Amino acid sequence: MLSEREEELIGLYADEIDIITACYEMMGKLLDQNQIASRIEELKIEELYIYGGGYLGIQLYRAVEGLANILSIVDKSGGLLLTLPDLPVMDLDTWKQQYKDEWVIITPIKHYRTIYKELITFVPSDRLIFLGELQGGK
Amino acid sequence: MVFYITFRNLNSTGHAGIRKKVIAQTKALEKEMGRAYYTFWCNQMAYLMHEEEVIEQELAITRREYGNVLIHWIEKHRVKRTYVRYPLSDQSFIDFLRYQKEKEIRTVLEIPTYPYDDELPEGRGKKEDIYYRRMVGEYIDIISTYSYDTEIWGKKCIKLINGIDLDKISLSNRKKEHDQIVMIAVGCMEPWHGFERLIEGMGNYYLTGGDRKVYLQLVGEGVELNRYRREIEHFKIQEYVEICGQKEGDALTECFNHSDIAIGSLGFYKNGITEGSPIKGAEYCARGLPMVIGYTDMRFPKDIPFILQVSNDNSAVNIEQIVNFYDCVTARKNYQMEIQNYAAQYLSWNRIMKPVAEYLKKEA
Repeated sequence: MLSEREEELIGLYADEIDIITACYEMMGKLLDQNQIASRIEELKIEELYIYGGGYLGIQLYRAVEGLANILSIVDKSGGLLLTLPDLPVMDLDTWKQQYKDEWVIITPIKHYRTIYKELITFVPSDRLIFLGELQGGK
Repeated sequence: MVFYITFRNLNSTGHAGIRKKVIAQTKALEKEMGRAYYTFWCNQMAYLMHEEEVIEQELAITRREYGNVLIHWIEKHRVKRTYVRYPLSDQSFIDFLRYQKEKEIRTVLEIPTYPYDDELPEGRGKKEDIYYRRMVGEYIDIISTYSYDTEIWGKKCIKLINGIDLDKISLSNRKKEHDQIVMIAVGCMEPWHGFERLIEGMGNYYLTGGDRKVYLQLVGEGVELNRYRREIEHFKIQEYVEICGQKEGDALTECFNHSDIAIGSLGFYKNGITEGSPIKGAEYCARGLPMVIGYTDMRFPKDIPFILQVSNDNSAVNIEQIVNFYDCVTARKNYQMEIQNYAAQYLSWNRIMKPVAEYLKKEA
């Protein structure tokens, strides 16, 4: 039998693997243009902000481009993980000043809860969704 | 209140059959025990459902978080009974079972396939399951399964068969055409479907001058589909095989309405399995279609006239044999009704789930 410490370590590894797997799957599902288009239509998303300038945020931008009006990517750092000059990006404080109840899709998986807690103070709950909810189809 | 707990993504196209089955089983439990919901995990979201209605949804990034969401819902809805579809064991699953045991929640664990080691790819998941499943018996009292096993992991088994929700399935309206036979093979195109045996058989049939036109509709998508495409080309039978893609609801019914014979799994031998009761067989039966299978189906007596059992190996299926079988079955008056009546009498989920409901109804 494993010791308590070994069990704890295995638990942490399992959680990390779940997160990495989730990122990979979500990244892949963003290639399914038809599914994304049908969800954008179903949720009646016309204007949106993408929260998170990491790979998932950038990939989501490319997937939604042309399907809805993406006002900007928002990232705490004010930048993207890749250098892509054609993609609009702004930092959190600038965004807060101009935000007017548009849809916000949160893309960072690992830090979703922390981000959600921060954003729900000024974003209406029915306008704030997680990337998985956008892809979910429920 | 009863929860039917799954850890799968029932929204994915490959799991359409499992989703139908879970909904039907949940309905059967509801009939016996009052309100029943089912759960699933999709795109890092946990869902609590009643048929197609979302009752609750919550973020669950990891499997452990999913377990925690389940616990939250169990407490919120004061659930005292659960039916859990076995998801393979890991630390978080054992923790979930431990919670149920501590809270005296009466539960039945369903193992959909047993033994299943040969089905699992080598790797972490398999090793983890082998390690943690030794603990499962500590936290559950009874297992339901579709095999002949009377005991698994030291626990008694309730024997189930895969059934059908007859309210959702209509009898095929296909009329016999003397100059052609249309076969239909529905599935998520996994290796254990073994449809390449049928394709090879069709290749042989046409190569040796088979004069009756025999067609095949392949319905569904999955890892084996590209292989089937290649084999269809290799045997030059493109004009006889239609790849229909994923179909559900009316579109699926339409496919069945164009079919004379249904093809069940032909590749169980790959997993070392000889018998079973896969979901699809019950649906074929409820549609009133004669069937060809490559395993012993536990739901039907051996001499039942509307099933042709072929060998459980990698040999090509003999299409001439299927043609003869079809002529033999269709010579019976009202054969479609006869097949469907069998489903109504023996394969309804209400009947199949009764022993599970009886167990869950008992006082803890």
